[in-house]
Amino acid sequence: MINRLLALLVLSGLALAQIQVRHDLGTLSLGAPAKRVVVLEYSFLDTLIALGVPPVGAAIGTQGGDRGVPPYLRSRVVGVTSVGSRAVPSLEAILALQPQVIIADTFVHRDLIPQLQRIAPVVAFSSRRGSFDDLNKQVVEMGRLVGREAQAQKLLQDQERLLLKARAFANPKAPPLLLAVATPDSFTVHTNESFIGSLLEHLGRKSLAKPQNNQTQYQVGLEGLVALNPATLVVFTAPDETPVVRGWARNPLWSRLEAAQRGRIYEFDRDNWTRGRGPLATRFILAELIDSGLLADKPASGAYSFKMPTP
Amino acid sequence: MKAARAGLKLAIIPLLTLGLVVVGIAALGVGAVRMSLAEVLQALGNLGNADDTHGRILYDLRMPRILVGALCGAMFAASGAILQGVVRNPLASPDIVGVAAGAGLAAVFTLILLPQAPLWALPVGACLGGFLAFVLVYLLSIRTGEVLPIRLALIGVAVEASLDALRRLILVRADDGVAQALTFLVGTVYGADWERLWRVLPFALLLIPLALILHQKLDVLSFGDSTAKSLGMRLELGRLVALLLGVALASVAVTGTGILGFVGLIAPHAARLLVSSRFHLLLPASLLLGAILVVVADTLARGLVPPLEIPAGLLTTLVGAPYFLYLMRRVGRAR
Repeated sequence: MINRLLALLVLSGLALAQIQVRHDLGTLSLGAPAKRVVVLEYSFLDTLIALGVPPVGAAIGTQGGDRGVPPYLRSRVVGVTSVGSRAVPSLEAILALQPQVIIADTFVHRDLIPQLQRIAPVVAFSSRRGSFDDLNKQVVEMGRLVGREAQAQKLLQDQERLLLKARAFANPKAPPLLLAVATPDSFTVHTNESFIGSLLEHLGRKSLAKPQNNQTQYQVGLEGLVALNPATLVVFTAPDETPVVRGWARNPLWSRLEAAQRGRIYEFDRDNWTRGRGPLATRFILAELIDSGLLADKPASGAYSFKMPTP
Repeated sequence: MKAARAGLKLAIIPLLTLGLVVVGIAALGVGAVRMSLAEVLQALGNLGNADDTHGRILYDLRMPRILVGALCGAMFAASGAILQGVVRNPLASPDIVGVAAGAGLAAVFTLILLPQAPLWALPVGACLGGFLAFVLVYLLSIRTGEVLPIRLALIGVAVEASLDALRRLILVRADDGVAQALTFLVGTVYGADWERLWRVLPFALLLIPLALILHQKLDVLSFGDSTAKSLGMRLELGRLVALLLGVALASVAVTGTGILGFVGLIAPHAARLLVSSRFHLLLPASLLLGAILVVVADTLARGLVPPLEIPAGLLTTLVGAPYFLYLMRRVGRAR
C-alpha cells in the first residue's frame, strides 16, 4: 500500500516536472525545457527572441513569396541558421541542426508535418491565419516550451499596459478603417479577424472588412476598393516594390475615395506590420501607430502618409 | 559492321545503368549539408545509429528522395516512349496529351475545394484527373481511326488551356494554400520519404515489367495500322491496352513527384537517338535516362542555392520546353 502511494507520488511528481505544451495537434510533453528549437514562421522567431531563447534555425530564406526577416527584427536575429523558405524549408538543414522541437504553422505546413515529425516533435500553431488573441496565447505556450513561462506572462502584461496607453490615443468616434497589403500585383484586404485587424479592434478602431468564406484575408481590385469606399485606408507596402496602388492612385476614382478626400491614407512597411506578428512586432507597430496619428484619426503626415506617384 | 553497331547499342543499356548508379551515389553527397565521399561512406557504414546526423540525412531524406525521383522519372519516360510509339507521334508525351494538366487540375481541386480530404486523396485524385484528361484529348483528336501528330498536339494544347483556366478559377478561391498547390504543379521531389516510395513502388513493379513484356506488341503498334493488321493483331484492343499503360505510368508518377515537366518527352527522344525505336531497347534506355534526368535535376534543385529548395520540375522544364519548340518546328515542316 505504502509502496503504491509512493509510486503514485513519484508519478505525480514526474507529471509536475513535465512540460506540457498545448497546440493545434494536441499536447506535447517534454521532460525539460527545449533548448534547440527550429521555427518555420516569423511570429515564432519574434516570440522566441522576445523570450530570450532564440531558435537555432528559422525559415528566413528569401525565395518566392518569402522576403526574409522583417526589418524591425533584423538586428536581433543573431546566430540563427536559415533553413530555407517557409513553404519548402530544407529538411536536411533542419535535421542537421538536431532540434528538440520544430514549431510549424498549422495550415501552411499541413502536408509537411508527417515529414517534420520524423525529424523532431512538432508543435503547430495557427500563425498566418491567427488573430491577435491567438498569437498572444501562442506566446504563453512557447514560453512554457522553452521554460520561460513567467517571462511570457510578463511580456503580455507589458504589452497590455502599452495597449492601454495606445488606446488613450484612439478616437472612439473615428469611422471604420480598411487595412490592406499592396504588392506589385495584388491588393489583399486584411479583415477584423486577421492579426493586424484584430489588434486595431483591440485599440478601438473598427475594421470595415469582415471575413468572407471564412477567409480572414482576401483580394479585391480598384473597383472593389471603391465599392468599400473606406473613410480611412491603411496600405502596407514594401519600400523595394512598386505596389499596385501606386498605379491606382493615378485613376480619378482614387481621389474620390473618402479616405483620399479626408487625407486619411496611411502607408506602412508590410514586412514589419503583417509578417512579424509577435510581441516585438506589436511593440514596433504600437509606436508607429501613435506616431502616425492613425489612432487619433488625424490626417496622415510625413513618412506615414501615402506616397502619391510622381506624374 | 551492322553487328558491331548492334553490339554497341546493346552496350548502351549497361552503360546507362552504370551512369544511373554513379549519379545516384554522387547525389548522396549533395544538399544543404555537404558531405564528402568519405563522409557518405562512413555514414552508410552506421546507418542504424539514430544519433548520427549524417546517417539520418542520408537514410531519412536523401535516399528516399533519390529513389522516388529515379522511379518517377523512369515512369514518366516509359509513359512518353509508349505514347509516342502507339500514337505514332513524336509530340505525344504526358505533358502534351493532357495527363499532366488533368492531374494538376484534380490536385488543385482536392487541395483547395476539399481541404478536409485525407492525404491520400491528392495522389488518387491526380491519377484519376490524368486519365480523364487523356481520354478527352484522345477522343477529340481521333478522326477516322487516326490521330495525326499536329492534331493531337493542338488539341492537347487546347485542352490543357481549358483545364488550366478551370484550375485558375479554383485558385481564385484559394489563399495560403496556393503556394502548396503551385509546388505540386511544378513538380518536385521535395519531401519524398520511404512511405511515398512504398506507395509508388507496387504500381511501378506492376507497370514497368508489363511494358517490357509487351515490347513486341508495342513495336507492332508503332509500325502503323496496316502493318499491325497484316500481322494479325487486334488493333483496337492492343492500342487501348498500350495507351492505358502509358497513361497509368504517368499518372502514378504524378502522385510521387507532381508534374515533372517534359521528362516524358525528352528522355524517350534521347533514348531513340542513342539506341533505336525498337521497344526492347527503347524502353530500358528511356527508363534509365528518365531516372538519370530527374535525379540530376533534383540534386541540382537542393544543391544549387542551399538551403533553398528549387522545384526539380522547374529545371526539367527549363531543358524540355526549348526541345519541345524545336520538335514542333520540325513536325510542322514535315507536314
